[in-house]
Amino acid sequence: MKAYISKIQHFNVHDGNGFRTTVFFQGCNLRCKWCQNPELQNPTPIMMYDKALCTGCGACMEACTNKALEPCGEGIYFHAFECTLCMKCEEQCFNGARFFSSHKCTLEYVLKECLKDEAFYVYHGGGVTLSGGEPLLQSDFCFSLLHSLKSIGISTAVETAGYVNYEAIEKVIEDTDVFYYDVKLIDRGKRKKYLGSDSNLMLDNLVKLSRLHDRIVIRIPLIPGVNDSETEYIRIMKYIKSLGNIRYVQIMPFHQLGMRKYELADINYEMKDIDAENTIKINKCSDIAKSYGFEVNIGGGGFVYELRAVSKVKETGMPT
Amino acid sequence: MSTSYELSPRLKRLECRLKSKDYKQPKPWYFENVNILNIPENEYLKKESIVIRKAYAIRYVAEHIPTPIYEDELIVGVPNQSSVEFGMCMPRYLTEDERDYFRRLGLSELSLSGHHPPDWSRIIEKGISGLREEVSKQLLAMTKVRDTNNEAEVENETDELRAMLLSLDGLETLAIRYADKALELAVKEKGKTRKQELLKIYETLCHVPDRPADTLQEAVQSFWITYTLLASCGEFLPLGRIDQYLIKYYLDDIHLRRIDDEQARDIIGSFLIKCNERNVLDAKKFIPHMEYGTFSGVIHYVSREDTLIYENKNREHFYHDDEPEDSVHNKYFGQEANNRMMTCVVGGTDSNGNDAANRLSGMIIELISEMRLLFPTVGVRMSKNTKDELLNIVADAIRSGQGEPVIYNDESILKSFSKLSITADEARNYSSDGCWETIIPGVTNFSYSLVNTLQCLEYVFNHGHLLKTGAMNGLDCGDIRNLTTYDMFYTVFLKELYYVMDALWRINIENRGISSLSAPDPLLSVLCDDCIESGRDFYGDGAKYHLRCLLLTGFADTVDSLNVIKKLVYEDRKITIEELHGAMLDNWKGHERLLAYIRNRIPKYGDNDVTTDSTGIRLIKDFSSKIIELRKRSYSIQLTGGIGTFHMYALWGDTVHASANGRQAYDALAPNYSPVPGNSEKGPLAAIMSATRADLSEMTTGTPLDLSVNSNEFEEESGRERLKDLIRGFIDMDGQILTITATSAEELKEAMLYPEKHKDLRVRMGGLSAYFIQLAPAQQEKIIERFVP
Repeated sequence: MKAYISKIQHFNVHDGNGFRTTVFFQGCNLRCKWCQNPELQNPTPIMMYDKALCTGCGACMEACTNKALEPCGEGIYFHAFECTLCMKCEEQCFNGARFFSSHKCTLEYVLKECLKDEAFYVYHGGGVTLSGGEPLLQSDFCFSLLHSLKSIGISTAVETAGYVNYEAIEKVIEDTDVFYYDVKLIDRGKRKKYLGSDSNLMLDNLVKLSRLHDRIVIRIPLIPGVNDSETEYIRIMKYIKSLGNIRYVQIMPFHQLGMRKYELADINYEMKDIDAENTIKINKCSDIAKSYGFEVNIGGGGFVYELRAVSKVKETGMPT
Repeated sequence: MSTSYELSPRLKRLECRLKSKDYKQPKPWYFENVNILNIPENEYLKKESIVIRKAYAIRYVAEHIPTPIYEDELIVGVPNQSSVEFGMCMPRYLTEDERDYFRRLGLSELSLSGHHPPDWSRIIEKGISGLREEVSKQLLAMTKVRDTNNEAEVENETDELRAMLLSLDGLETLAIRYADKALELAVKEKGKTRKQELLKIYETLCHVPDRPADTLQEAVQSFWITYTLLASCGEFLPLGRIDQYLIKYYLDDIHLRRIDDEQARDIIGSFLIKCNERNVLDAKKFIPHMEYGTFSGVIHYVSREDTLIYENKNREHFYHDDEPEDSVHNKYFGQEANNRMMTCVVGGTDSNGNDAANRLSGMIIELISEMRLLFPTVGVRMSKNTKDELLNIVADAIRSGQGEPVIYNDESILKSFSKLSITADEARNYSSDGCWETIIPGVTNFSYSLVNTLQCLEYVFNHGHLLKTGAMNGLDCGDIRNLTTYDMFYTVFLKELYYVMDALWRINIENRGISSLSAPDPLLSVLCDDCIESGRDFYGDGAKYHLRCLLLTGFADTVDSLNVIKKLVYEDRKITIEELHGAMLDNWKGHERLLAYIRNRIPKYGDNDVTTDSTGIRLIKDFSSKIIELRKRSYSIQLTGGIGTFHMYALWGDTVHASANGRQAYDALAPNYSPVPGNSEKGPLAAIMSATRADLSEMTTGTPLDLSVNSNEFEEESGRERLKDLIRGFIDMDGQILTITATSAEELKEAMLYPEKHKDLRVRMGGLSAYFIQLAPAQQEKIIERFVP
């Protein structure tokens, strides 16, 4: 079984309890204007190019099997439609200037990477978090991965925007300790404008999920001029409160750290000139969330829910 | 649960004075041109033996060194100025003829090697009176057996014992002079509180170090006044297990309500401030006093030729205005300006193996961290049983960006001590020497030699020659083209390595104890076990154990290089060994594509890659087996191993041309046992995994892994818990020594631009901590590189 995985990042401190190994999946059906991983929106890998690292040696051009790379003036032009994803160019670019946003990885490989830091998962329920893109678009893979991890006692978390068929969520419910569920906007018009979709799917799925799962952390990306106005923000709060069993809310303030990725992936970025969310607003939103009775964390580094006793797996025996 | 304390007003004032005044002023160096033999009434001393004359030199210091007492302080004693980089001053006691003679051996009065923590509890618990009694008893015992012994030897021994008594007299004199000073100031003092404090200091010094201490203040004062005299006579001494020496006095005081916790913090804090008064932040204000013979108790010289090289090296201790900032002289100038080997270790176990961490262990870490002091460099001994309370304090200190405390894993280190013939209960008392090496206070005479493995690799390629100097330091093992398999290559590398290890081992044996001829130290000897019983000097035969360490230097670069050679040349056959050699000789110029491949496509040490790490495991195994072999062949020393560079990774990299791992010629080595900076994009956990795969049980001296983490990843309560997980994980994985610097590349870059805003930013430099803004730009950049982009 394989999936398009962008990277497996070790030593993460913002995606759950303890130390997390985060698996980033390729592909997302939303087009949020502030997306910080824009290279992962496309369902298949896309070409990234870092001009600063390029020495202009032309090895990528020579390696290309379908003439997708051609000389153009002083640089090299990439014909996206000609690319067959053979990835030979990446293989020959030793400087790492030309690379793909993700690669097809086997379940065994991903599992092995996830278990590398197992020794550090023990004390505070560290473990593995699936993120992306939207991991649940490749839900069969997610299920197998999560199930294998759970079966050897490793804590699991899934970060999702919920814009998938409900069946995809249902499939992983049992093997997911904590869901990090994005709630971005309630206003339908704004959803169309900023997320690229006005479907109610995300909100409906959350309602369904919350009836079956009691460890959901709501993540609100706080975006200047989009959802940080008091009216919109309070609508979000009311909606979360109505779910009944939500305890934790994490506010993820807008920042510009992902800007470079737009350049590398050659994607137009509309929020270039927006300043990072200001502290006064963040604190105000935090206070509002608290007044609704939620435990609030800013930035996602906080621990959530009491620690489940995690049995230490002695040998990293690979589950079959 | 630890609570963060406010510093008391007294400590705030002391800290303020330290940083605004003391750090900025150059300090006087006393006794620069003094030779006690030149004083007319000392003519008779010329007939005395050297050790007796040394004792008189100690007494001279005690009688003449100024005895200032500063405002607000509770602990007094100001040692003479000195530093590892800029040398030391002390009254000389050799005649011209003797000096000429010792000069040929590279020795002088200054050849004290420091590094050894004495058993400070001897002076605290027994006092001068107790120690005098011991020495006298031994003198009496010796008179009885006089007839049967070799006459000359008995004279040596009785002289040593006599010298011990004389230097104890000196210590008493110094204490009395400080007591007088305190009394004088008390009389003049107008404020009632301070008057009482000064009288208390007077009383304390009338009691200690003469007699055993009764209270915390007495214990600390006894300790510090003794340190003051030793340091003023040229010793660079670690402080050992200070929390263990002092805890019973603290508990007594608290129990009897003599003082409360706040007052105890004032006493300990005042003492910690004293440890820093000699620091000068602007190294250009230091006046070099480095002379031939300084420190040569550590660095082993074999021939006259080497002595000459050393004398020339003195040039490096000046800042050369006529040279560019990054010239060899200027690049490393000032690195050790304030280093006096002043380390301490808290926590750990008692001699029965029970957890001995106590209230003072945490208090000392907290105070050093809160006042952001450079010294003492603090280490903490931890184990799986370490209580959460201490762990919290440790994590908070590290989080606040101190690079300290250094974490020692008891279990792993004690396991390696068990390989030596040292009793288990003595081993449980281990502490640190002047940097991070493990050493047992009071019983171990220790020294080390560096085995630069990256140089050994250079010998393989270049017929035993070191490219920088052209000198033939290794063996000529023939043409590398003949090495057709990796195993053949590795065998030749081992041959070079063993050749160097053999040579260093021989020098270590030949030079053992040689420095005691010109620079014995009776005062240090009296504080160490067995010296009194044997009547021998600590630097000679007196110490109970003589440990010598061969330190594997350049580990990460060597392992990465071997992996590149293995994979590129012998497994994938992408290029020949000759082509690789050519590229290295060209310092990678014109081989950019190859360089990029090596840097980015071949897994490195620190990537948590089992295959890659097996090369390092093998290197450590082969290194260890040679250590074992050499240890079996030596009788007068016990040989141990270790892996490290201290903070000298830049200087030692400066001797090696380009290496196969893509390192540029004369670039710095990777520090200590850490992965090559900038390579470890897999993060700290991967580095820990890689570093704990090998069997480190022969590496008794230690293998410190230096990690840099971003401080913003460890914020809030959850951040502290994560940091604790990291430490616990390291201990679980059987790691040995760990240092964590928590800061961020952004913060460091800003500190380079606006040094005045980041005066307190400390970074860990392998062997010691330094204020970041004090470092040369070239070094600052190296430290920034350690952070993952």
